[in-house]
Parts: sequence; C-alpha cells; structure tokens
Amino acid sequence: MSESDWQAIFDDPMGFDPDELREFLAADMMDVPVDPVFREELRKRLWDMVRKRYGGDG
Amino acid sequence: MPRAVSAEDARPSAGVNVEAEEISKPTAAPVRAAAAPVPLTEQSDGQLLDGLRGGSESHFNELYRRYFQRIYSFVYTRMRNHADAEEVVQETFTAVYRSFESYRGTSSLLSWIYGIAKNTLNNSLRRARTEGQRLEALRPEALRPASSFGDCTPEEHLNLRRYTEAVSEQLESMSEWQCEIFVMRHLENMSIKEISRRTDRSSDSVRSSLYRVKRLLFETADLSPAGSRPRGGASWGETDPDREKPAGTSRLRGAQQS
Repeated sequence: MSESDWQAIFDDPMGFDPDELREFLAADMMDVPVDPVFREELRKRLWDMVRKRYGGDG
Repeated sequence: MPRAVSAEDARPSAGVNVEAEEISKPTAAPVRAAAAPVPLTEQSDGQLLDGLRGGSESHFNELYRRYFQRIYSFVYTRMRNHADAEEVVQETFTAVYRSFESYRGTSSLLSWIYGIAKNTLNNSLRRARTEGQRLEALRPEALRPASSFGDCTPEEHLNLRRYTEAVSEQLESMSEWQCEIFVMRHLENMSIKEISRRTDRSSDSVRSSLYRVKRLLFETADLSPAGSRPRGGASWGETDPDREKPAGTSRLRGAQQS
C-alpha cells in the first residue's frame, strides 16, 4: 500500500452520512458467510501484532 | 504492561452477587474487591480496548468477534466477491490494529472502524480501476527475463537479489493460502480449475487471489530501488535445477515442498 493510500484510510474516518450508516447497518443484518480459515488466519496475525506491541498472555 | 483501569470499570456490573458482598463486608466501608468480573461479552468497547492494551488475548478475541462479521458483511455487500472482500477486510483490520494508539475515543469505536473500512474500500476500488488497465495490457512475455541467470553481470545479480528480497517481504504480508495458490499456478503450472478443486475455493476466488499477488509484485517493482527490478521481471516458471533460486522466498520454497 502506498503512503498516500495509507493516509487516505484515515481521512476523516468518522465522516459518513446517514445513508452510509444505513447501508452499514443493513449489511449488519445480512447473514454473509465467511471462510473460517480466513477469519482464523487474520485473527492470529492481528493477535501477533498486538502481542508484539503490548506484550501478551502467552 | 499492567491493564489500565477506565472509568467504566468502576461502574456496577451485572452478575455481581450482592448478597455475598454484604456477608463478607468486614466494616461499613464498601467493598468492590469481591465483585465478580464482568463477562467479556458485556464489557464496553473501552474496557475491551484497555484489556487489549494490557496484552489480554481474551479481550482481543472479544473485540475481534464483535467487529469482524459486521465489517466483513459491509465490505462484501459492496464488492460482491469473497476474495476481494477478504483483501479489504484484512487491510482494514491491519490498519485498525496498527492505529489503536491514535483512537481517542471521541466517537464510538464502531464508527471509527467503519470509517476506516469505508476508506479502505474506496482505496481498493480506485486501485482496481487503474491497475486493472495496466494488467489488461500485460503480455506473458513481459514476465520472462531478458537473459539467463548465467549471463547476468554482477550488478544484475545484485539487482535481482534486491528485487527478490522485496518480493519476499511482500509475500510475508499475504496469507498462507494466497501463497499456495500463487505457487500452484506459477511454479506447478496448475489450471485454475485444478487449484479451485484442491483448495476448495471458487474459480472466481482463485483468480482474484492471483490477481492480487500479481498486483503486489507490481507494487514491489514500483517501490524497489531504481534499477533493482530485473530486466523484464523475474520468471519463476522455469525448472532448470541448476538455476539459482530467488533469495529469501522461504514461504514459496515451503509451499513447493508440501
């Protein structure tokens, strides 16, 4: 990811309009299937990141 | 790091056995030490964040559980493709977890994470538009080296090594299955259909993943030091056993052995 892309992610992260919020909440009600392998791999990677930064249980 | 105590920690919690507290009270002074811990599922985002910053995996897990499906559903409804959705979700959560320090708590965590997801999604759609055009124009010959490794000058060897190290770094950021798919396609020369069957993923998902890996390699080439990209790009599809393997591509080698 380029530096400008990274910055863009944090461009006004709280800035969204009511329509967008409605869209988000509507998606929230959907039962979208997720690949459990992906979910678990991402969890492990993120936990590893957190553990390195803050220390961890194990 | 000790767990920081937030104001929310001081709130009375559900599930506290008041009667037991009363009995064990030695004096008239209120006793909070005997209070049962608030179940994680009932803790506020702030409490979970405090726990996470204190290194608690259970707090981390609860926060992840609370937001993963919501963000995934939102991204998927926009992309309508699991492979692309996974990529955006991965980028979103990586950005979120790298940036908890900058979350000031002035808005809800939900809206903060959602804002990051939305921006990541927009970034991804924009990149796909521009890079799609570049990739469409790419011909397979462009991925072949202009000369064999044996003909390389020392400078070209050095440049190739730098390039493959940069590629290796990018590969580390991908999930195992993305690497495996890349290896199956480009080192084992398997068809999309066969990869799809072996990995139990749709052809669409396999294609999207290959596209992403290709894009990563492009980004690496763009970001690598001037002149470090090998002429015409590196070709890993050749099978000359005497040929020097790209340095540092440990995950690729591991995948080949499996």
